[in-house]
Amino acid sequence: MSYFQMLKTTIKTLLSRPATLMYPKKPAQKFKSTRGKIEIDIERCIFCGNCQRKCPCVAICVDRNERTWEIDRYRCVICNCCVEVCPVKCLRCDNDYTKPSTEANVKDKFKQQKPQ
Amino acid sequence: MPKKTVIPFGPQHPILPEPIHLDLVLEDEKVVDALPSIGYVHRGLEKLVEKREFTEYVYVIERICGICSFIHGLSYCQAIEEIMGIDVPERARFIRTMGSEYSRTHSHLLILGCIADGMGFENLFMGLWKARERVLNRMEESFGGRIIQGTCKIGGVKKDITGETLDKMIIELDAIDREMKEMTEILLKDDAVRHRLKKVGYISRDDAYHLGAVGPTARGSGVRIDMRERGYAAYDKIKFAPVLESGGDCYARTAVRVGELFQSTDIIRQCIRKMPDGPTETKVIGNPSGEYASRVEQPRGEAVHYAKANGTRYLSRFRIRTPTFANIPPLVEMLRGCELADVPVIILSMDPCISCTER
Amino acid sequence: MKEEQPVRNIEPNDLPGNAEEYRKNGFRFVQACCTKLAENIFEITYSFDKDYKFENLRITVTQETEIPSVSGVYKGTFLYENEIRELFGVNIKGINVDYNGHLYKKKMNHPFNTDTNKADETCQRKQ
Repeated sequence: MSYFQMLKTTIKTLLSRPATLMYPKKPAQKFKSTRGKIEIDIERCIFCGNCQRKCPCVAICVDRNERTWEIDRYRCVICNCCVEVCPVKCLRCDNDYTKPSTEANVKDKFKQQKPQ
Repeated sequence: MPKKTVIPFGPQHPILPEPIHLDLVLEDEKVVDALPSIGYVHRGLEKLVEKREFTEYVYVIERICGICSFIHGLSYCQAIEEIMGIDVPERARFIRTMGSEYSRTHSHLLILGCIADGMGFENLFMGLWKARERVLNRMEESFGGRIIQGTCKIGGVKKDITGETLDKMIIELDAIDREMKEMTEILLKDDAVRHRLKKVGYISRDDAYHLGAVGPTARGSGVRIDMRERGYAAYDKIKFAPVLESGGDCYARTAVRVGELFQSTDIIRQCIRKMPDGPTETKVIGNPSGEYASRVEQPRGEAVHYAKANGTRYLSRFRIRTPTFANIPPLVEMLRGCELADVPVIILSMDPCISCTER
Repeated sequence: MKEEQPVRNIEPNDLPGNAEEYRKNGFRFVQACCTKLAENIFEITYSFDKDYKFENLRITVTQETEIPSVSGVYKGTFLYENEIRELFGVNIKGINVDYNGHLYKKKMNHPFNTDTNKADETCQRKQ
């Protein structure tokens, strides 16, 4: 007959520090190789459109005439496909997550400033 | 003659981790029959194969389910590699094996926590999930994601793991083992828990084999089916034996999962010791043509990925038979003759993963 | 080291007899898979396994062919056959637990029987 096996562990956890993290007051823990969100170095982009064609979620919109690159943050699943197919390697994966928001479509647009 | 009532159980229920619907036919608190009904998360992912090229379809396959994501990706890559005759390098095989075993550990800790929660033992549920956090941290550090790892690709793995990450893993594995041992001893030895699990949800060995049970549901009744013995990935170089119990009830299935937890950490240690140096991928040229069914051992049982290719960039058919799909007829058999209050514990001990079943 | 997975083509009416043979020899049922080969031609593959040996039976049918069910021999196959019947529209008769077309809640009959176009999906703004 063995009851109350959990008692020892319960008392130990009561008297020690909490195991949870007060997010968002404290920042979320992350590692070097965490896949957080996709960032672009817009000055090096050549607007070939490879990332738009290969994206499995259709989240990227490339406009060659206006020289803009737009990504829908909540359609993107951070699969890293665009980072791998970019020919000039101007895309990279940051290890910070997108902040929560109350709007439906969060799109980030980047415009190239290079003079022609 | 006692009156029969039909009550619906699910798809939204506080106990269930996944949306499954059962119509229970009751005679005064005893369940006489059950009719399962699935299809609440059906996304038509098998039809999507006609719109995504075979190199990109791996992203869709990984996201069928959050708990068994790594092994789905591994099985898809294996099916295409066998059709095209690609030889995967040794180091990639060992990394894939390591990822599979981490995935199995976190999945078993999840369902053991849910079984404890289903009985009302919330303290044990939190303790088991605290142990699971350590496993998820290790997966995030080496593969990049806690739940969706995104590591497997056709021809190998995407990223290599450095030597110092592997050394840190060995130290952490001891801590993980200690925490798991503390929690699972309570699960198996406490009398209050045993009263809820023993002699509940019994299925005999013959019934389990002929109704098509797989995974811990079958191994808890003494049926020896473990796809890892076939020797895919790096399992032909690892020493292990399937965990078998003969009870056939919920306690036996829980004991099988606890045994597999410690077996998984042992396999990870063997992988780290035996991992060779070398490249992590081979280049893929051309299109697949032919058919093959790749079978792997997921945490819940045997999964079959059948691929049929016709020489173009798009596959003509891809079919996934997940373990829960095969475990639903044994579940109906287990529910016959039990009390109404035992129904949640029986369903959780079968470990339903409905988002895999409804791809 | 590709594993051997033999496939035998049989007639639909021989299906319960062959399944009974497999059951007597100790095989268990693994899966049933339907593929659309061309307009109104389907190919259904039944797979069996014993001691990790994988064998398949294959039948080629149209939507009008009457296919006898294997659920008299293997009792746990009702989910596979109901799903194939609902998604592709083939005619399987005599399933032991018959959902009569209500297993999935869908908008159209036989959704996997349609053809999708493989055109490129353009980005969100241009759609």
